Amino acid sequence: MMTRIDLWPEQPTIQADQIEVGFVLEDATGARQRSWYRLPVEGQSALTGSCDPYLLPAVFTAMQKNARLVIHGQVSPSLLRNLTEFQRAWAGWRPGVYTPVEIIADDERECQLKPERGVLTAFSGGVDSVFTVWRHHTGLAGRQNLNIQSALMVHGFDIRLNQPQVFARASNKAQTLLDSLGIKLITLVTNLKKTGINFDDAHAAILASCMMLLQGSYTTGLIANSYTYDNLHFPWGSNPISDHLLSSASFDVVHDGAAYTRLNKVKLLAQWPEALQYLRVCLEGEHRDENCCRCEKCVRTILEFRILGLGLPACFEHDVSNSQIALLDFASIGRIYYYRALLGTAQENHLAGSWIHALKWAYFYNSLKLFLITQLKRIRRLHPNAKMKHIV
Amino acid sequence: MDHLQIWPEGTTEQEGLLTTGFVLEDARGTRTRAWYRLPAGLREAITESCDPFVLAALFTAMQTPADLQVHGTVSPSLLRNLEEFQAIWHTWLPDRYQLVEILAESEQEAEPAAGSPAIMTFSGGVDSSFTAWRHRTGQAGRQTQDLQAGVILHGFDIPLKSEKAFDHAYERAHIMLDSLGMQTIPMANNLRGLGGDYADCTAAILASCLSLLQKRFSVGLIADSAPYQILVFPWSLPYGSNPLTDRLLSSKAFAILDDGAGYYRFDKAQALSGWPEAMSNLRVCLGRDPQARVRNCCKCEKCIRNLLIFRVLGLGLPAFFEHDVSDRQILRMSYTSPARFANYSRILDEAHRRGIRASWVRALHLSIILNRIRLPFRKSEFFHHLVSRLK
Repeated sequence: MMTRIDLWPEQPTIQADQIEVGFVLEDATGARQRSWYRLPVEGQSALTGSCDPYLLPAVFTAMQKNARLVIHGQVSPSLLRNLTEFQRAWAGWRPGVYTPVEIIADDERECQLKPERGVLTAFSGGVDSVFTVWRHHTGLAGRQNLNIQSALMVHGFDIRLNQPQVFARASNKAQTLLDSLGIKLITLVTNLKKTGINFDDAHAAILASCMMLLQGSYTTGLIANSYTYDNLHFPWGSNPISDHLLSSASFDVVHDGAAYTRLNKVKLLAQWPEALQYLRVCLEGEHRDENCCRCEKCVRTILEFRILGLGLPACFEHDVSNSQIALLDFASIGRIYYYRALLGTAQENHLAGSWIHALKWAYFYNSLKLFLITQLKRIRRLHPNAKMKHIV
Repeated sequence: MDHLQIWPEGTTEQEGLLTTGFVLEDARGTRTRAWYRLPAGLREAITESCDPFVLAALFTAMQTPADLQVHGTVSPSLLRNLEEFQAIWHTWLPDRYQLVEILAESEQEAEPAAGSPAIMTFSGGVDSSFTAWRHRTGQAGRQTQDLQAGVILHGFDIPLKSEKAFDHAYERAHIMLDSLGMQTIPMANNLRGLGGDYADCTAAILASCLSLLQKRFSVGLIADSAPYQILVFPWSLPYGSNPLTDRLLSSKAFAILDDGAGYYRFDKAQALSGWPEAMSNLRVCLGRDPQARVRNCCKCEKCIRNLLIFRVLGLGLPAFFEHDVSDRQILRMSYTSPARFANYSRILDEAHRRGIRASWVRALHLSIILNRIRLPFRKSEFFHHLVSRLK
């Protein structure tokens, strides 16, 4: 029998210069899980009274527990309609993990908001989000161009909650970067990553939740793509199929920039001096406000600049050695795509040298490794006792 | 870049049929006429906007490549969506499709139809029947659309010259839709003759036909044929109609919705078993002979797949199939598409769950294994890379 989860919104509280909002999820046993969002008090006027933002992360909890979700507040019917399809997509991608559930709200009503509001983008300071800001600022987005007024940087995702100084330094860099384009930086702290949801699956929903919280001042929230259209990976939290299903009639969630390869983005960003100085790509270093220059993502980004003949940008303190390149470890098949593109561009640009050999070796070794792992997994599934549901 | 010009033509009436369309003129002055033919009663539903013509000609323009010059009015919202639509197809198949400009004499949003009446393309197969069934019987929950009509296309899977086959297919579609209180609209067209890879431009042609009637309808449904789950396989895209690109064929006045991707064919067949008219008139066949398609040949991969689905559901041999399928036919099936694997695996799972130990289950199991063994060599990028290096 389907169990039930209640979502109770909380009243905003102000402490010092911060305003805090949040909600509590209560399951059938009475266990309560509190989620909160904290932002500077000047953002108060943008805060929505609707429960739409809270519903986005909560739907993952409900799908995971196969529990009917009861919202004790106002929810937009347009969002509920979109979430029906959103849940179907995720149940298809992760069968056995997520089950579509019923969502009931005390008050189903579209938000009545002033029409003249702005555009907001999620901003980490990495290549993808920096490129989104740049392409809309410079008109590269053509008819899809949006006038981005603000960027939202969230503390509690890649930078841990117990590292406020690290986040402060990272947000200072982001502020300098955005100031050069006249875009306002908004910072928000949240504990949503710590509430037991699978962050890989739910990160777009959590980002959309944080942006939608500010729908009093914004009509649209952009999420920079993770993968390009020719290299899509499912399931992955942010993707061009399910991201737009996080929208309501009053707030659009837009998956942005998936037609550009990372190399294209790097090439275009080279025209923005502040970007070369303040990019923050590292996801493994101890201090995430800096680039460690050692992890796979740092090495890959350094190589992208190098292959395009752009040298070592100022955001990296050290260059990478050939042995670092040769010993690269691709965590997933998705990485092969990036390195194939790197090698293809190196060939087009007639690049040679020991580092190219090191890169070819890393590509060959990792391709072979991942091919064998994949085939072994498939052969295992061919065993008569294996579950045929996941045969491919 | 060269130009392709779209010259819209007026609507004419002859023998109770309306004909409308456009002329596509290339840089050398070669003119190709594209037409749509439909019952005279729909005159008031036909839009003056050139949106449907742009959708029909887009793949030809991208493949040529040539900018599209439209001598008429186009919706700016459609043009915005088509930029992303093109970007996706160009990213998927960069050697086949290029980005082109669409330049319209006038850009203006069309007036949307009052209310939100919906229309769908209806082939009479499992996917489109399920879409009609779920929206008309309230199974679509919050997503339920006010679905009023189904368009059955002549010139699409049934060639224009096979008139008898189309009449037969129309008759069956009409019985099914009539039982749901929906109007059946036959629409002949020659859009396939415009060029463009048929498999790629399926959704664009369907959207073109649906949006032609946007003065009466504001939503067009395209039944999805591949569930979300197949997207987990890296080779599942590109696919002509899919939940990523279909919605980008929309304008403000006319939304295109990809419907039913959340369901397996298996779930759809189960739902349809409660609809007697469907169980007598479904048309699932993709065999070579159009006449045989209308009857369901009971020999092609698609017929066999559907036969097995109904068999495992305990529904026996539905009336729309004339013959049953043998174990030998099951064993000899050949497929590589992720959707096929997903479907056959699901049938096998269900057979095991129901404790069915018949010989056809063993044949199916063996068929999956044989196709699965062939697959890595057909689909592995590493393998292809290795082969190309060896060459």
